[in-house]
Amino acid sequence: MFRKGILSLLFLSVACSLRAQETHWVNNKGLRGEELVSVAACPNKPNMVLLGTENELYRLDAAQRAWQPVCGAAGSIGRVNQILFDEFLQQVYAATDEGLWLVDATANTCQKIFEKSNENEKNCLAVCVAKNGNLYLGTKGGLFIRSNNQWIKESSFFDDKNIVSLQTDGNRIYVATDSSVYVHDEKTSQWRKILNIYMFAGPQESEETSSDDDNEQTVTPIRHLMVSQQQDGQLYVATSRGVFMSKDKGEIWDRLPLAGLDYVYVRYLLSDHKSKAVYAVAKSGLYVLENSGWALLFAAHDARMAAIRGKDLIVISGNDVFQHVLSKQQSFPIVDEDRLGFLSGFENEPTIRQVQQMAIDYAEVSNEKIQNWRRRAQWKAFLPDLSLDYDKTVTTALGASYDRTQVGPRDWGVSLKWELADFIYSSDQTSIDVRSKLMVDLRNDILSEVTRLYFERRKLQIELAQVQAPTEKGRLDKELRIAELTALIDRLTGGKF
Amino acid sequence: MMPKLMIVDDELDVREYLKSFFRRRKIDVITAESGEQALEVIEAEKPDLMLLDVKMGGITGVETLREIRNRGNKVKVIMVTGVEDQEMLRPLSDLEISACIHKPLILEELEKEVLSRLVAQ
Repeated sequence: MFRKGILSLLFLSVACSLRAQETHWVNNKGLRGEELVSVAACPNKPNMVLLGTENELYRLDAAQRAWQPVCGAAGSIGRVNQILFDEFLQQVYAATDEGLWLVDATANTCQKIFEKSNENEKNCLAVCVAKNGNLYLGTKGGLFIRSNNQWIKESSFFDDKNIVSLQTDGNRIYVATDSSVYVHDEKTSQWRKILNIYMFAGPQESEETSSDDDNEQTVTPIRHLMVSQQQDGQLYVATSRGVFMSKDKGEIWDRLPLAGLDYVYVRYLLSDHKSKAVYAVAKSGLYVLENSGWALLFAAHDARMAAIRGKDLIVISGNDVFQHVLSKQQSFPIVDEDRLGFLSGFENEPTIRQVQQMAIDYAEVSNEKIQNWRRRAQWKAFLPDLSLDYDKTVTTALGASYDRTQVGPRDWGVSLKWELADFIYSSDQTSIDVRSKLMVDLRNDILSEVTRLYFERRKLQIELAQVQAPTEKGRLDKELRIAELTALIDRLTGGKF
Repeated sequence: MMPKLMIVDDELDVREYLKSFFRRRKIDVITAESGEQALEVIEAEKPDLMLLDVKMGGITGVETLREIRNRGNKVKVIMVTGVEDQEMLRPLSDLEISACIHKPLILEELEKEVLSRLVAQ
């Protein structure tokens, strides 16, 4: 009883301290340091979160303390590209580069239900379930449809196209290839192309081949397609040319503003049907769509995907898992007794958001600076070039019959000159554009580094507290590394950490 | 010994941002705000690579480079130019440069260009 009382007090103190934190790192015990590729959360069971890596599928154990492999008995199931919780059929599917698997996360079993010998066809990238129960499977070698337990290749229209994303709004199936989006028209039973991204100019041609996706097997112009569940017909597509939205089932597309996004290349999109918020995952972190652009919710060094889990967003980045709180009310779905104790020891440390702000302030790369430049450039157009002179005026008059030169007294002269073209566009704007681009890149670089250092340090702190370094040397090594990371963060923040 | 990069640009923000960026990549960085200043310090500093803006107040980047070459200095140079400066690049045909990068600068691209030349050094 006494122990429970102490733990409750600890829980409360942690709850109070963590209320200030919006994002926190989730214990990745059991993941064996593997790089995370995909994530999904069961809509009906908040404790059921699945992570996909290069080889395996993981879920949290019953005690919510560590991640355990789901398909261990099957050996490596391949790189898990997508995990789908199908509410309709109450099934879980994992699309991997070795095929499609039917997953029983409770019994920890995985059964391969689609397999091909062709290297492209067996590489499954996306899966969705239609209202009629048909299963749609997107592979690198085309689209397959399972009907009455028979797999048929939709070769008449898609041939061997790379199918990167599949979605359904309940009535229609949407298919995204490398550069186009198609819809299955229920009236004609035909496929119809509704978007070709090459119709839209890219914001910067160099970003078409951006190397921000070095770890991906292929970099395609279209990365992800999302159907908004709360508004029928609203589609979103994440592409190398920005994020596009259609309010009318793909008839007309608009490019969403890019303001706020540090990388044009958004990797994943998702929407919260309760709040109607739209989120984007780019390499630099997690963003939410606002009226005038995107707001950064959480900066990461290699964010890949996210999933909504109750009131939170689970975000995967590199080989780490983060939990971002969406609402003011705290939720602690992944907590264990040991962790409560560790977290209470960190309440005096700055949060990651505070550290990021320190780094931005120290490097003087805040957004306000760009706005300030532009404002000053605009005001400069109103100010004339002013010149003053003080000299003698000499007047010469030449007449038909006379020459007269008069040397006048010294007097002042004032001249004001406006460049009218500056009201429209001045050369300062070009200079500001160059500087602002550089500054945005630099800010992103700094945020990425400080975030990486911060969480590497936090992981070591937790490991030390969990006595994961049994030897004295091991403990000393960790302590030295923590000290080194502290110094590095301190350097990036101008000594304020 | 860390490789040394010299950044020549008349804009303070550009110099400072690039200096911060490359110093975090363990590259020693020196800056000059004009072609004249670059010519003053280049012999003493002996950079391994120079980022040289084409359009500057005072002598241009092209004129600076010509003087550097006239002095027998073979330092590797990456010219940084805006689209509107194309005409100014014509005289470069007889001057040895490693690369030409266009503004607006993309740090990732610039990093690759700089590191590849410093590694080759």
